[in-house]
Amino acid sequence: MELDVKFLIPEIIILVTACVVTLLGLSGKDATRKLTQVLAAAGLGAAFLGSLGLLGNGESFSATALLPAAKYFNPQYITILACGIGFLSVLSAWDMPSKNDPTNTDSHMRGEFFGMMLFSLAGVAMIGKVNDLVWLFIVLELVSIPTYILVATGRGQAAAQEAGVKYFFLGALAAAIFLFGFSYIYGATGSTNFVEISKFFMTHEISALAMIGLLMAIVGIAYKIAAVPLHFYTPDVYQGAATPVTAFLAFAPKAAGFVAIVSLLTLVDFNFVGTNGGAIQTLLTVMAILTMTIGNVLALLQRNVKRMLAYSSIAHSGYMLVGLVAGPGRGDAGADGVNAVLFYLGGYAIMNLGAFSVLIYLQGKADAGEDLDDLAGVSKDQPVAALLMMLCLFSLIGMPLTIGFLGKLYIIQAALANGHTLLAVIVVINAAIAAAYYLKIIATMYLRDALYPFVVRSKLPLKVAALVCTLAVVAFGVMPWPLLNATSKAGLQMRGGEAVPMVKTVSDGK
Amino acid sequence: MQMMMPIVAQVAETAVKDWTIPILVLVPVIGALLLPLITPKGNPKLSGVLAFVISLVPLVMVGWMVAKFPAYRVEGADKAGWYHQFSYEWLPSFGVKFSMGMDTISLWLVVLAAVLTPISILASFNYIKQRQPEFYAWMLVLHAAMLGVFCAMDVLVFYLFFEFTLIPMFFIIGIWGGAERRKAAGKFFLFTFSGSVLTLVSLLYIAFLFSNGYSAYSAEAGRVVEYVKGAGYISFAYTDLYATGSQLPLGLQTILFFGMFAGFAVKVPLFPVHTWLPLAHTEAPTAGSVILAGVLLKLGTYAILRFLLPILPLAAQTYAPYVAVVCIIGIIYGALVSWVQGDMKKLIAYSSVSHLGFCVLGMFAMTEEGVMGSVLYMINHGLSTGALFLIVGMIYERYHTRDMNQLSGLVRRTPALAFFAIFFVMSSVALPGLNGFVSEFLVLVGTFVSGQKTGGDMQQTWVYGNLGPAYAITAATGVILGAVYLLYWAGRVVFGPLKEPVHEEGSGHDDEHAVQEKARDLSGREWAVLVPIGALVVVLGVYPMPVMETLKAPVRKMVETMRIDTTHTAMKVNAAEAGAQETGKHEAGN
Repeated sequence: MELDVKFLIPEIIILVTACVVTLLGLSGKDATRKLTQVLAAAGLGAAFLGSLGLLGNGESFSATALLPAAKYFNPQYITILACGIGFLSVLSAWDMPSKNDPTNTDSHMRGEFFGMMLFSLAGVAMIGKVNDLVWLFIVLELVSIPTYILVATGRGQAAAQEAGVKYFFLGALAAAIFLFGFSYIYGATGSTNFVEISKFFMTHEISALAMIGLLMAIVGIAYKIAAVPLHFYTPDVYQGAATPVTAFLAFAPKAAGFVAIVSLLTLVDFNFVGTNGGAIQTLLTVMAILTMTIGNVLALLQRNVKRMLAYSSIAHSGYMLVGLVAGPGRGDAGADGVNAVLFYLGGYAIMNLGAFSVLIYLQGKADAGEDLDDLAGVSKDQPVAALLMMLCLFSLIGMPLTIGFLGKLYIIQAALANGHTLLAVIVVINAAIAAAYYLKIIATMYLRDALYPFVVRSKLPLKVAALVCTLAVVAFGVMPWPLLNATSKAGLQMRGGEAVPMVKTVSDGK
Repeated sequence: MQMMMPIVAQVAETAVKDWTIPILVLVPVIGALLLPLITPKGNPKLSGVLAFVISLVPLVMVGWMVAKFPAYRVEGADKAGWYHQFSYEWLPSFGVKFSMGMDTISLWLVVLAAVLTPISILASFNYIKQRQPEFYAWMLVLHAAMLGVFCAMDVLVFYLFFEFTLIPMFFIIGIWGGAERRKAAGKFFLFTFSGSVLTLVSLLYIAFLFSNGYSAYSAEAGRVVEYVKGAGYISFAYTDLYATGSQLPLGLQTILFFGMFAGFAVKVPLFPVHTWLPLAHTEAPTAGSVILAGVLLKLGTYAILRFLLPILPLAAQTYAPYVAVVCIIGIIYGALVSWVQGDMKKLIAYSSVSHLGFCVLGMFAMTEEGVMGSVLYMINHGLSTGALFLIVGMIYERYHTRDMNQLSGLVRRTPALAFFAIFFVMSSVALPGLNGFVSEFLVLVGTFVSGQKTGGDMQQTWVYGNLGPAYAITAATGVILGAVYLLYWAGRVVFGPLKEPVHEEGSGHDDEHAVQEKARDLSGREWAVLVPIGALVVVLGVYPMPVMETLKAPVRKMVETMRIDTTHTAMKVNAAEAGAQETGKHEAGN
């Protein structure tokens, strides 16, 4: 069966734009190079509209035969997320890096910056539609390699280069681990194709060889989602990179990594029982607990806001891992861990980008807005910026009427409904720890007086990005239906329909 | 009976469409959003007046609701039932309905919030000097959240408003508070938040059991017993959770009980987790203290009454003696710590710890008198303690100190203020004739008779509560101590030789002149602040019957759900199973 090419239109638009932008970025004229960001935004906007248009065709997306993952979630949702968040990321990175940028010693706008962003986003957009281990590897690297370049060249400071090198070498190591894991899966099942592999697992127990492969693949990909124990790079890289790049890092590799893990888990149909199956669940559970707790506790100790948000990004990965442990359940709406993860991913991307956009806005001077003291008294000088940041941070805490609350609620409900009561309790305890450091930022902004006058980066697109993110945080917090429906539309329909025979226990096949 | 039918039908018909409560909650929200916009730039002081006017709207609405409340105005209406119901399928996939409504317990607490907010706004006109529109906007947001909490009928809607009160209060303490305001605000937020997330997970678990059912091996029956039959869908409606939680076996109820209790005990606050309260009170501006003591602490006691006791009656009965001990420790400890305070605000803050111990004790007595006393206690404590904080605020505005050692003999300088100080102290120490007496007496009587009143029918026998005279007698020492420290305070500050603090150098005024100027007696605005509370204190003290009459039915209903089953074990297990089947049938019917 052939996959209808029209479902790849958004990805094609992004890739074509990426090529054009990269070529234009080589131009000698600064004005032409400046055009790249407009083109990048336009391309992502078009891709976003295209992917929204395709969402309605969920039923005709006859992909379950090709894509085992489509049984559990709507791959088009990831595309929409990549285009939408990507568009806002481009806006928040407007004029970066350029000679207007005080954090950059280079005097010229760099054309390839947005090209790299687009390549990475193209990878995120298609990660849900991958149906082969080789493709999964290529797409994951398509997401990652441009981010190495973004980190290293995002700002002309030694710290950025150091971060870039660190990120690259550790990333390469992680890639080697999961590629090695893929080779074991191939060795155990005789195929790299997802359909073949999942058919194999339907009729065979998970062998020790295959289990080693799966575990290594998950551990390797854990690097992308910054899960413990592969989280060590996160604070340094997040702090060293230019802030718009940091915001991008908190979304692109994480989204790609989670969807990749979900895709791998669909190969075994989220069947965590059986002789060896328990190992996956144990790994994910241990990773989830450590990731949440270590991320939050270390975030408490930070004074640098970017470092704090880096650790908090680790913690949020931990919450999402809880959703993966819970698994899809019986497919009840509201108890589906996989959809909870995807919903949380969207919510986290929006609220995190909103917070980072305000940070970028406040960084009119080199390294400003990084230390907590730099944010003191924002509310008096920049009341709107402070308000937007406050709403995003309350959402990250998980206060009601924000998307962050619903995300946590979804994850906790999924965990409870699938019998992981202890994990649910650990999640809420962590939410309480997290409240302490987010509140520290809010308190600094509202309850202290400014130490020195603010120099802001007053770009209209940046302001739009911050505003749109914050509005989305509140709007989806009150009316989450569009996002909820988008995550699960295809998945639920498929499970209710013809695809049901694919859901089988291992013992059935024997 | 024939006359009753159409009226009941009418109530049921209009139940889901009643917009009264959503409007009640939305008015302050919209006011808060508009306030910074409609305040003239040159005159930020005006925002206080505007906020006061906006906060009168809910008060008028609530007054109208009290006058018309169906449960005691319409003949034959269900006196223990929920009225003004509003329901909207908010998040169907999570099982969350945006459902609101009120019974008479909610109604009186809504009245308390609606009365205290305009008063505390009025009391802030001189106290709040900077960022005024922002302050009053947060006050209005807080007002909306408080009204919402008492009107919620869905646990998640309750939780939503419960958590939302934290945000405005955090800013009110943190921006307009005293020297240690940042620490106080942070501690207030984090204590409450940490407790309430454990509450949330317990409530979510009960909702999950409502959906999936619960069966477990019972040693008593010697076989697997189906305690709860799964409904197949998640629901957070109060009634659904009552039906689920109360069927569970003791072991599970115990875990859920302590999970839920964690959040509510912090909010109340009960003895070991009260440490955030004195700090928050001392640092908060007057209006913040009034609302915090008057209404926000009641969210904890209200939640215990509304969720903890009816959802998990078995665990509540089992652990009532332990909770009572904690309450009594709080009563005596709070009183003793109050006694030695030099800071007047801290003194009243610790007195709240002591008083709320009584309030929770009354609930855990599980007798009609005790629960009734507790509900009245919430209202009375809100009025008396709120008023005492107002008085301390007024003293502070005049002398810029709250130190008892620097002040005495106020009656010579400000006789009217001194009169109100003594008056509200009397109300707070439960002088017969004033409001505090009624509730404190009922709580103690309720605790005394707890465990002695029995009842029964063909299948079951039961007893109400398992406390007893020993608890009541020990708690009563707290009444004496309460009189000691409050009268000690009043005696020192109000009477005695006139002593006024000397202003620090550089205050910009001639010292003598400044004191002379500030120590005026009550202004017209301050009279307007104190007189309404004073009037309510007298009315509730002399003639509380109308309020008690309206509370009787819901309190009785609540007490019936908490009676302790003393039936023979085998019969009990059968009854539990019958209960589960009945619940299942009930759901099928729905």
